[in-house]
Amino acid sequence: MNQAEALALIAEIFECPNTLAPSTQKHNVRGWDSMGVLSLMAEFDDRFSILLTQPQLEQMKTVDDILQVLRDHGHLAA
Amino acid sequence: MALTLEKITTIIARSLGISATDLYEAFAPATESELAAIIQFRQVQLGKSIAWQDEAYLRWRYDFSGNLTAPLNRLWRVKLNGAILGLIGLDYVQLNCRGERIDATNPLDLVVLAKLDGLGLGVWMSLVLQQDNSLMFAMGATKSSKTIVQKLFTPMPDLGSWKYLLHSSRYLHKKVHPLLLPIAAKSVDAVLALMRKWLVRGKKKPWHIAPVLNFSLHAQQLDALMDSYKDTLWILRQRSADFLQWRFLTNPRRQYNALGLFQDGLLAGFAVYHIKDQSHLHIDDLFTAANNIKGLQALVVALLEIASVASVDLVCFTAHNELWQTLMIPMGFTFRDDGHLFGVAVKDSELQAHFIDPTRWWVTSCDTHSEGF
Repeated sequence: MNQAEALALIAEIFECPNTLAPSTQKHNVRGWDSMGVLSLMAEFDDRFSILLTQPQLEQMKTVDDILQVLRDHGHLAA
Repeated sequence: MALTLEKITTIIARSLGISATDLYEAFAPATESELAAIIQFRQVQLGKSIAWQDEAYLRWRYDFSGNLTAPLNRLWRVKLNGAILGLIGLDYVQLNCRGERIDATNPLDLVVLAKLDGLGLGVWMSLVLQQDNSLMFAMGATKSSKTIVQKLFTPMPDLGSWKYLLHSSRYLHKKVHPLLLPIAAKSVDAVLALMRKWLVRGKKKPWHIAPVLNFSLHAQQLDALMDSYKDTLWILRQRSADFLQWRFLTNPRRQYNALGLFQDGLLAGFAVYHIKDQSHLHIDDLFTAANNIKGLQALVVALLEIASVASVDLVCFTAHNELWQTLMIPMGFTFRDDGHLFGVAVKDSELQAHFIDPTRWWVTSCDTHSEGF
């Protein structure tokens, strides 16, 4: 998966316009709320077998923090 | 990307390091022995926003007896290893629809441990309760519950407020030079007083308006008023004497006042109000027999007189817009959308079409938990 595809996926998960950038902050992402976090956890589990933990989620402040999880698990080129 | 309750349960349970079965077992109505811990939990999580005696409030609103069969208000908790992680209250509500009493529930008092905030525990608790309750409605929301109301309930038009201005200086000072403010305010207030005099003439007859100190004395008349709605399509809360007495006249979070509209000595309607910050009078409920617009007008006139004597600047009435236009606009009120969320979740397919029609709901502050806002 490349970065553009990953950003499109995250936008789809949060049900927001596909205008996200790695630097986009959490509070600027419509849909990055408790329902959005549940969708993120479910999609990462189903699609990538990545189990997001509470400490990980607490640390996520930008879209790039989500992309980094994909990089760490080999699903996104660095 | 539809999320099922099963999937959400798995995710939440895994986040907490437990099984799905353990999570369900951790979620139960709170009992008396847990009340002290609940009070402390709410104090820590809500802090300064609790401006009332919380134990008195919790005991007034919820049943902690452990009797799970009677239709009572209950406070549900997720408790793991003796620690409370989240709370959600569930009011049992009786609605009146075409003369039938319909059971419904209303979630409120959602509080989640701060370090778990945003992880979906509130969503999970709401979904579990929705699963077990065929008709649920939600009114208003805090920052943390707003998403839940918006996404788990069918949205109805937001509740707004009807407002009537009595004194203008508080609102003119932003628009008028300070030197001109006294003259401008005096002129505007004189015009408002003239308009009010014209609007109220003759509108209180033939009724007698007097305070109601105990709704229990008017139980039969209240039942008769509710019966008058059986040939209408309105969905409204059953305003029994017991409910009104509890909701307004024994409420530990706010002192309410009730006015009765009497004809030939019998209650023909009522209004409930409170005065806030010496600046505005809020109408919390307004009710008469079906289609008795003149009775509602008489009550509004009485409330305007009370507001004038109390020297408040504004009278406001939170209500569902659809119903009240024909009454409030001719009385000189203007409407503002306050953005108070209102949503309905209906599982019963026979009830669906009727209960998700926003024009059918009769809603006032009576149906909210506005003392907590």
